[in-house]
Order: sequence, then structure tokens, then C-alpha cells
Amino acid sequence: MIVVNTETVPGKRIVEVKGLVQGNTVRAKHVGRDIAASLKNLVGGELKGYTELLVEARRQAMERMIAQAEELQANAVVNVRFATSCITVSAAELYVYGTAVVLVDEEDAYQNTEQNIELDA
Amino acid sequence: MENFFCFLNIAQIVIPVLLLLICAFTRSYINRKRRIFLAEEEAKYLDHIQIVNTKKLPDNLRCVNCVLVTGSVVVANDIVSTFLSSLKGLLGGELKNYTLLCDTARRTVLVRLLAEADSLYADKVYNVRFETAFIHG
Repeated sequence: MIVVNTETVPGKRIVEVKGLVQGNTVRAKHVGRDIAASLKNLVGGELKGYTELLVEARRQAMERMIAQAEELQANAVVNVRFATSCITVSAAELYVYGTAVVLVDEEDAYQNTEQNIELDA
Repeated sequence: MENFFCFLNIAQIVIPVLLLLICAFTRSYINRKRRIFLAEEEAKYLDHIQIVNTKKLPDNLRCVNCVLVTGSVVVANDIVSTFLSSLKGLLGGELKNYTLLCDTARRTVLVRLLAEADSLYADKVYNVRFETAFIHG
């Protein structure tokens, strides 16, 4: 499964568009991490617990999106976008969406069209 | 008279609990009905409207009538699942209630967008973007 945030994949051609796929999750860290983060807030710096939270959430949301793409028999997701929102205290929502497509190698696509032209002739 | 006060004490506990349960059941009933409705609507629109979030049209297509379509919704969680989620938040992990809430909201938005596109006789929706905002009540 190719997952990219560009519209096209170099060297590949989109032969079929399967439609929009998406995945979302709302996650929280346990209360110990919340307290540690609020203490860290006093001195500033990276809140490692929350960084971890967002990484986990992103991975889970992407897994869900890829599962949806596999269900549609796509082999790539292009133009992937991430969105976050603040839902409740100390929880984060991660939402990821993209377009499920079927990709083939550019050479293969070219050969196919050549063959079709020959067949037509 | 003593019996009456005893009854009042029980009522003080039972009535709020009942109200909370009614809240939870109503919400789950509404949610289930909404998801059935959404599945029907999605099936209705998605068989003739394609929806993607890429900017460019394929080379062989040209747009004859381009119109911006939008959809929006504001949702809230019920009081019982908010409370249960806040307990789950202490342990950490996924808050399924909120995930479900957001998912239902997004599907509602997509269905509204598709309905608008359908009323314009569109067959493709391009460059879809989602935005969320937090409205504090």
C-alpha cells in the first residue's frame, strides 16, 4: 500500500479512482502522564507523553484508513491529509483522509495502450 | 409520615439515575437510527457521485459547471458517555464514544455535501477538505 500526500506518484499512473477513504480516532493518555505533562508545563519544553499520544493516534487512524482502502481493492492512497481537533480535556482526535486509487507502473500502462492501439488497428 | 420521608430519600436517588439512563438510552437510540439513515443515504448518493480529495481533474475530463458545495454539523455527546469517557481518559487509550461521535458527525457532513451536489446534478466532487472546530458551551 502506497500512502503519499501528493496528488500523483512519480513513475506510476492512476488507472482507477476508488473514492474517499478516511480513518479517525480519539485517544487519551493515563492520568499519570497528564499530571507529568502539567508539571512539565511549569518549566516548558517538549511534552513527551503527548507527543507519544499523537504518534499513536496518527498510526491508528492511518491503519483504519488503509483498511478501508484495502476493502475497496485499491493499492494506494494519494493526497493524504491529517486533521486534528480538540474534543475534551487531555484527549486528542486524529482524523486522516485521502483518495483511494489503483496505480500501475507507467511503462506497463504505456505498453497496454500500445497493445490496445495495435488491437484497434 | 416516616414512610413518606423514606420514600423521598429513595426518590432522590432513583429519579436522577432514571433520568441519566433515559439520556443514555435516548442517545443510543438516536445514534443507531442516524447510522442506519446515513448508510441508506450514502448508498443512494455514492452510486452516482464520485468523491475524491485531489485537486486536479483527470486529463480526459473537463468541468462544465463547477459549483462549491459544503456541509456542516454541530454535535454533542450525552452526559452518561461523557462521564464514562472521562473515566476511561484516566486510564488512557482510545475513547470509543468520542471516536463514534466524530465518525457519525463526518458521515453526516458528507451526506449533506452529497445531497447538495446531487441537487445540482453533479457527478463528481473534487478537492474535499474537512475542518473541525471546538465550540465551548
